[in-house]
Amino acid sequence: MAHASVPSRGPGWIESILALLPARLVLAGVFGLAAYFKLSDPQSFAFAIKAFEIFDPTEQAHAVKLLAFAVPWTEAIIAVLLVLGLWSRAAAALLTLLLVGFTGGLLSLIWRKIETECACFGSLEFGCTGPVGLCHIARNMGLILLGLLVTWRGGGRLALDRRGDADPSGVDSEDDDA
Amino acid sequence: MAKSAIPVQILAIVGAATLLAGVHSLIVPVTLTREKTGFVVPAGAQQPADQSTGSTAEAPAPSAADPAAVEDALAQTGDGVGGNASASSGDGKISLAEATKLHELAITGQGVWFLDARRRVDYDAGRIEGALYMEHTHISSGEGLDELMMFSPPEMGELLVIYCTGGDCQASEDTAILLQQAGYTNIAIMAAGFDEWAAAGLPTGGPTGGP
Repeated sequence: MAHASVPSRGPGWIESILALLPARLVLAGVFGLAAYFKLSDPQSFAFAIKAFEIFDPTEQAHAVKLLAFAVPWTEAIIAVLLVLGLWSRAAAALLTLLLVGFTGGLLSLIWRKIETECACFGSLEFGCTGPVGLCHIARNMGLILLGLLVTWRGGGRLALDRRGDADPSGVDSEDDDA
Repeated sequence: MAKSAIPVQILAIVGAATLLAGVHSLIVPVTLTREKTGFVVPAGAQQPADQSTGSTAEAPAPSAADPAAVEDALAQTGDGVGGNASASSGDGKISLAEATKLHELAITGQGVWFLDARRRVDYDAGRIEGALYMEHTHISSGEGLDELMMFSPPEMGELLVIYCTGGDCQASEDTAILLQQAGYTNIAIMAAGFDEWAAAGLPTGGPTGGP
């Protein structure tokens, strides 16, 4: 059954080259580096999660430890998928969910007036320095927009998702399946 | 590709990440809480072989600790440790008054070291006189630990006094956890942080003062 809200045509070459490929690469680069820094020092990332004061480090240590490893590995897998353009929508959707979660955590820090560093990207500051503030929220919002773009439009023509799509008319069979 | 596949793919990514995380956590354990053992007065400490380079601050030269001096100093404070450093309050936390007395021993090289667990930028802006920069990231990178090992290896048993901003700051605890993992057991945490220290007009280093 066709959905009126879903575009019947997929992204063209211009959109793929000028918007979707850069969006994928930026997200993959940022989160690939973030994963690298976090995985190379999981203890510091665990401390960073603890500093958010969402989990009790004694009672809920298992949750902090699980997040300290699972979050960067998720980011790493997503980064690889986005570079390849494989499962682009799923990867971008999951990344967007992660970013929404991170942003919620940052907002709760600001709300509770807890002054701590973000450690969102490991030791990589990525545009915002110092304790968590509105800069971090704005940065995350920008990344969320990129994530939503890829979730909505897919990986574009320069993605492995499109392998086997040899239709020169530009009709996006990905969306037609919906 | 059908859109209905997206939730399945998301679950597959999360599943794979969780699996990898589980294996990784078995290889690299992380610790979140410190073993709270209190601290003891170091005795019979040896001079380190090499103390020439590498400090981020000009640290005082360590020498054999004087337990009696520490105990005397703490006895004069009248609270907390209560005159016997080897029988500290269990969680290894000391008050500003106790830290002040210990600092006198630190700057005269009597087996006490002050470690600053705050961010580098805060340390550079001002620190307790003679304190070494020892944020947890500096330790986990290996740099901070090398530096500390050079001045005071764990086997010397010298007293490490860690501080951060103050109040509920967790940085001291994080640094203490990593130092315990590295074999340091004689650790005290200054509950009053740097802000309280500086407000009391006690000796500071960096741009505002000495080393």
